[in-house]
Amino acid sequence: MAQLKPIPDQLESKRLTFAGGVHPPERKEISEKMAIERAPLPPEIWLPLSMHVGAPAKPVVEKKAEVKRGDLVAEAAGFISAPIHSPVCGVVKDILPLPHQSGQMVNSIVITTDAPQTMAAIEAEQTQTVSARCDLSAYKQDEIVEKVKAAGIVGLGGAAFPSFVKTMPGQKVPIDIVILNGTECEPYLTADHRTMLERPEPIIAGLRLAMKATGAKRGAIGIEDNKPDAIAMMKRAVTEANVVERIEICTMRTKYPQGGERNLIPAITGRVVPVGGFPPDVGVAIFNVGTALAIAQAVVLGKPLMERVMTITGRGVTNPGNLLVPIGTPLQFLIGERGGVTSNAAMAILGGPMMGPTAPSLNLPVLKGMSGVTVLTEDDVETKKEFACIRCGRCVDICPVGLSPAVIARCSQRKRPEDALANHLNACVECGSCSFVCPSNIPLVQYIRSGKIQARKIAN
Amino acid sequence: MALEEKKQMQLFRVKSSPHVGGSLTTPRVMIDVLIALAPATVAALVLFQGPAALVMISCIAGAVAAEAFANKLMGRPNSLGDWSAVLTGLILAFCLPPNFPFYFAFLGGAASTGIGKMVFGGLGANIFNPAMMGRAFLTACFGTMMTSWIEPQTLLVVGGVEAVTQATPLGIAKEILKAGGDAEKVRSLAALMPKMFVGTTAGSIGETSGVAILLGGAWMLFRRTITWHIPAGVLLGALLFGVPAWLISPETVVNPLIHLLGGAMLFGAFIIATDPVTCPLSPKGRFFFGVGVGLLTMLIRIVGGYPEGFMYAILLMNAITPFMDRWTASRPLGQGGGADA
Repeated sequence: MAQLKPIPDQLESKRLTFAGGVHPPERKEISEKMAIERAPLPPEIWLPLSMHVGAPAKPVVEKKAEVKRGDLVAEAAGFISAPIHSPVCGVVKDILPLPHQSGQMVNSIVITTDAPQTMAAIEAEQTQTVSARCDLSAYKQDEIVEKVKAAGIVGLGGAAFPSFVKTMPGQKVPIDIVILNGTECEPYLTADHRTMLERPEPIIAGLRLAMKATGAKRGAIGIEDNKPDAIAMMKRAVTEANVVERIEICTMRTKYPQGGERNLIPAITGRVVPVGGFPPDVGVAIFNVGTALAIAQAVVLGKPLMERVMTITGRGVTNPGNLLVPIGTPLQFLIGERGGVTSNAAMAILGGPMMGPTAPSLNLPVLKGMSGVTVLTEDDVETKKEFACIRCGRCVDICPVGLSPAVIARCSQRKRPEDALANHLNACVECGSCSFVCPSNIPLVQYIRSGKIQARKIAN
Repeated sequence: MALEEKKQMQLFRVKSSPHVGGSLTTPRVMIDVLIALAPATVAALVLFQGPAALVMISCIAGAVAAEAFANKLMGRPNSLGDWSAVLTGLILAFCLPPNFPFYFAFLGGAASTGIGKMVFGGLGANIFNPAMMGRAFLTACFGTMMTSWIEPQTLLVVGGVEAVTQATPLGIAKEILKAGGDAEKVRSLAALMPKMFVGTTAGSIGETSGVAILLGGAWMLFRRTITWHIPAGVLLGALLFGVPAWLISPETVVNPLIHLLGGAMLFGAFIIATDPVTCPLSPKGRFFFGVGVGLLTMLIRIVGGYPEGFMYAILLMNAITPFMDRWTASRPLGQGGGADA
């Protein structure tokens, strides 16, 4: 393997970015000023066995079993998999297929909540906090990895890839930088923004733990410059912590998809992740800021991943906000408790509007990787007339991974997966920028997705 | 209870992401080009008046009628709402002599969308620039009328008297070339340059006024309707050929600035060559497309048999656009493209 480019020495002095990209309306004002509140406890928790990349977890509890908050209810089944813990005290009601973000029915563990007992457990946790400068000498490298693995931590930015895999030392290429992704480039979402403002210390602790586990000498937190308060807060927290590790706060230009790892990594390190490759191939481990928080809580406090911060937003909800939500909370309850959706609500997006899938109903549980729910109104989702492609090239100009989306989409539309593959179909990250800019309103990403399905068919 | 039920049963719309879109639409792109043509339209009306207006209206009417008729014939929905037919008609009119018969102009307009676009399958599917197809059709059918020019503002000066014919600057340049040099004509042409910038020389309806075209080009660059690649490519290509030729043989080849201001070069660089449908997709491809158009135009003007060659240059480059797309295909980031290139 060729020598990796050295990482630039001063990352804090410049505003970093990538070539291409778009500027969708940010709409962060709906929820960015709202402090994180603890969501009410649902009467029932649905924990799908599949809410991570990899093999579905295997239940270790049976019907009628009594569980405590933090108890393991399903174990990892395979190397790429993740265990699942109950966020509530209660009784296992059933294990049965239930609706899921994927659109399919997925085997889920249903737990009836014992509210008083759970509240007491949560109360007891409140006293424990993680300081940015906590002593890491107590934790060995593989101990950190083991704890991250046992805590069921997956990428909270949305990918839900088991995090321990990324923290493992002894990768092919030595990891020399750990990047925390605090860009939150998706419109509407503010969960990471609020987390950085309100929990800067454990985020830094999580970064230090990841650096120690991977052996990285440098750490960086990338934040878009539409969040100057978060940049200032994290900078202050790093300065005040005054730790030995070298941690820099990188100001990223506000541009979508700045938080896509294929764009964030080159912007910070100058290294490009090869097509078909992964960040470790260029010596980088990258985590969402929320994941770093979870890592700190898991390693220092021994707390498994059982709740997460998510944004409930959009003009279609009566009461937007940022919530600390027990994983497995049915969305119906979560949003219903806050006054529900407005009468003109038209679309429920799991995540943000650029990449988030839609849900036909709110009859779904919160998953580990669900960063928010954006409910759009009829006014927001007017269907625009589709025109023929005029080959204007705007999609080519802005594609953040350097593709010709119109060409790939046309190949897919004409059911020619071979041609789509020759035009680098599989390098598409489905960020949606091309569909966003297309003046002819062609759903390019939709065509490209169907092309990927066609390509998989011919591969088999 | 009804609301409660709705909350429980709420069925939302399901679709593929993204769920937000930009505000720019294809009709708006076309309208932006029409706005860019406004200064040149005003200039044409001032310089060539009634006859020019008649040609413009006839071309647009022909283009619109043929598109509507073709849609009807093919059982397709009406596509006039995208404004591209109006635009094609106006661009064609800009490339015709002001005293061109309006009924033939109508025919040309019909040929431009009918033969140039609709037979290929409508907007976005055509290989050749529709306006240039219409002009090629008219050149083939009515060659003499296509090359008879009048002095601008003739009607303004002499009232109802018949227009005075006058050679275009490029016509004079060709005469110089054919004569193997003519010092006096070279001087008179050089003196014409300020007039060419303003537009008060003989020429096609919308092509004579350099300043009006540049205003329109600036608007399109400002609106990002076009990028700099094609106009810069065309002008650079023209200079790449024009400057050495002029330096080698200054007594027979005229100042390259005259070539830039004369004929369709400026208008074509900003308006004709930038037709997105018929030019390459990638910025690199667009730039070299422009260079090719500039070079070919100058080749025809200086070496070939015609005083002007922009139309042929465009049509030839249109023909190799699919190949240029292949040569300049974008490389993905992480595979020799983007930041690691």
